[in-house]
Amino acid sequence: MAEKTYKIVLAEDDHILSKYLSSKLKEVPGFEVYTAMDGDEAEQKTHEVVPDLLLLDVIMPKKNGFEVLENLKSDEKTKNVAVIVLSNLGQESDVTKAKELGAADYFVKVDFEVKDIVDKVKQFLGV
Amino acid sequence: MNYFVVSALVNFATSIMLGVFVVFKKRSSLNFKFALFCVSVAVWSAAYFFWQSSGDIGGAFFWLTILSVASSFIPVCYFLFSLAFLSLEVVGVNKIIMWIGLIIALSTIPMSIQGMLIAGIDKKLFFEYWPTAGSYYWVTLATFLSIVGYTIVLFYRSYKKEVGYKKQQILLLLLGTGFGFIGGITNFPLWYDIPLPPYGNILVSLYVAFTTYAILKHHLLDIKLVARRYSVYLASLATILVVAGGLRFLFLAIFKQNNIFFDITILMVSLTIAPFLKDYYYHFANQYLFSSLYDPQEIITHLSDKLRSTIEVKKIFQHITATLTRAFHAKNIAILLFVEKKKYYELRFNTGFPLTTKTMKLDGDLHSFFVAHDEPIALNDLQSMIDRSQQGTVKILKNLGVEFINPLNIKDKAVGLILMARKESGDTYNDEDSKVLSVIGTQAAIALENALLFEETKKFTVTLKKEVAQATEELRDKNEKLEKLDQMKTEFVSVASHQLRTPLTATKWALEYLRDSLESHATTEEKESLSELSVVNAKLIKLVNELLNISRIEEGRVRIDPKPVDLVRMVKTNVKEFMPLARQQKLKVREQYDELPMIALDEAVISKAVANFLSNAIKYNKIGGGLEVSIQKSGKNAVLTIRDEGIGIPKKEMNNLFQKFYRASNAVSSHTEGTGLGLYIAKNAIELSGGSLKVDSVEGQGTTIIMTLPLIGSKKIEGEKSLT
Repeated sequence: MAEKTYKIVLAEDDHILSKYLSSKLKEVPGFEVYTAMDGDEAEQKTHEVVPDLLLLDVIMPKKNGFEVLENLKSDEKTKNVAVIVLSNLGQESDVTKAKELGAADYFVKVDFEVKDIVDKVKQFLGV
Repeated sequence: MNYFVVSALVNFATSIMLGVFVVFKKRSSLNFKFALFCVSVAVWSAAYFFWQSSGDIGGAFFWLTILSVASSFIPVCYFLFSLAFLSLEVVGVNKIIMWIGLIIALSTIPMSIQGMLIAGIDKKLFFEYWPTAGSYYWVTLATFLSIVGYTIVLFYRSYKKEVGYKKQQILLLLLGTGFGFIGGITNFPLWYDIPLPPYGNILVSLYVAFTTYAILKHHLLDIKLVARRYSVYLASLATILVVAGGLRFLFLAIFKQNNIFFDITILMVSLTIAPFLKDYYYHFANQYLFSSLYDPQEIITHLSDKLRSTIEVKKIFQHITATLTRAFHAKNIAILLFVEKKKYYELRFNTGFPLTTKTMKLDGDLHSFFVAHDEPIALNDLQSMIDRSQQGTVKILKNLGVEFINPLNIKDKAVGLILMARKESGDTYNDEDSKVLSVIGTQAAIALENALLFEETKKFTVTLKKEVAQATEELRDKNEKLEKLDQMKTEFVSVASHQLRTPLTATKWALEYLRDSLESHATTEEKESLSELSVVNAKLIKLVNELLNISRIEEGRVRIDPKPVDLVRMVKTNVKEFMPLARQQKLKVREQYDELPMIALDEAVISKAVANFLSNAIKYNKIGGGLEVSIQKSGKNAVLTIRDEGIGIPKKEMNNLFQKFYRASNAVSSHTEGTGLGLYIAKNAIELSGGSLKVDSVEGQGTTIIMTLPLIGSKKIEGEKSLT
């Protein structure tokens, strides 16, 4: 039986964080990982790829994560893409806003190790 | 002593006293001339007295000679005084008349010696010794009558020209002249055997009295007013007497007898109708006989009603001036109000005075004079009552045409002044006017004071409204700014924490990567270094989190979200997590827990605090020391106690324990790392949860942390976030 492929878009402007997380995600069999370095690219990639999961940073150049989220959710093609917000903004208002815009979950990056985040992704996708 | 002796004595006494009095009152050229006239009258009167008292013909003749000579000087002195009074110069015709009079008067001396003044002395009527006119007597008589007649003409001409109080004075002098000289002239007929006794002799003193009054008093008794009053009373009395008398006559004619009841009835009816009759004649007199007269009561009542009906300053001015114009027909009226702060009078209403400035500052203590005097006063009277330093203002008022001033005061407080010009009729302001104006002044002062207070209150209300609106606007602006500032702070904290956390996250993940990738082939030292780096990074992350917590605490943005929590389980979990560290220190751990119900707590907040206490109790404990953790139910509270046998806290530093960044000196020397924020955050977290925190410690022996939480649980606090 062919292994199910999960497409994941990682929108993270910090190249170090992007490098570590994307490389760890790629180690999971069946994960296809696409990276985006700013809000516009994130929106564009998601529209192209229509991933199973978008890991979305909030503070990004060109367009912030909330704007991207809002646009994706209002687009027929991308409105059903699952989104987990990964951010170091930890205010309650940020979490609430993300969930109101349609994010499935919100993690504060500094609280987790990379493998913890990968485990959470696997758990979310049911892998 | 007969009437004629008495009349002479009265004339003498009146002339001497009034002559001296006038000069004593004011030493002026006019008054000296009047005094000279009085002396001439006094000499004549004295001679008259002695003549009438003489017991022999020789004495009578002597005194008659003195009398005749003295009487010839009377018209000249009278003429000179009159010229001075009327401000006429002794030039031209006046000079000629003066010299003629003087020459004639002086000529009576030799003429009397020659026997040409008195031809003889005889018994006439009831006079023992009465003179017969000599051939020269008619000269003195003609001179007398001519000079007096000419003077009367001069007075009359001036009376027609003059206005105001001067006119009134001239009228008084004319009346006095009439009484005096007519009375005096009654002496002459008998000189020519005309059988007319000199009953009018005593009237000479009236002239002196009238003149004295006229030249000393500036606002005079209004003759018209007196005449009106007495004519009204006389008419009322006459009517009652005629009617009552007529009725009584009819009764007698019909019934032929007196009846006391009828008389009493007539009396009662007369008394009843008397006031109505008086009013009727009063109005009749006002309407048909006298002009520019008013009913004081009606004026005062009318103004009172008008002033009661309004609180507006402008309307009050209008009512006052309308009333004053109606009553007095003053040419101009002005109302000035006293401005206490600036100490001047402000012109607020003016019907026609040529005032060029809106304000008036009074000389010297003139203002105090008006406050103290508090009665209407004629400007001329004022002039004589104040000293030289205050005359400047009086002069200005005179030039403006002011004749009467009515101070408006309430007790000792000046409200203002009413200035009035002369009456249109030319009459002076008399005593009754003064009384009416005094009452009007009091009414006006009260009405104006109330209106001004009302005006001030209105202005104050408007100002207050404006200021409140302005303050509200400013407050709104400040609130907006504060909100913006608050938002900026929140954003700053948020962004700052993000900016700090991102590199810390990168370090954390990089170290994780290195640990994973080097696990199999790294040396022990390399693994140790990686481990140390991870620990350091974790501390930095912890510091950032604690700073965020402090920011939330200080801004009241901490959220407390209580849910039912098993406190004992939570503490046990925390102790279990710290057991590896406790074992490292070889600590003897003892636990004791009472059974507790579920307590509504924000588990994250309380757990964090407990973790902090346990961390300290282990960190600062001695190797092999004891660690006791217990929870007791104490009344309505649950009490968690954590006791260690560590370094303790110096006594003098106990008060600083819960301050931000504070670490006890012995803690710093034993463990150099540490932020000094843990206890501050823990204390705030417990207090936000409705609990309290107490610390007991003895340096070198150990520390006991006592955390008390209410069994009813914590209240929910809406906030930005729970503690990190």
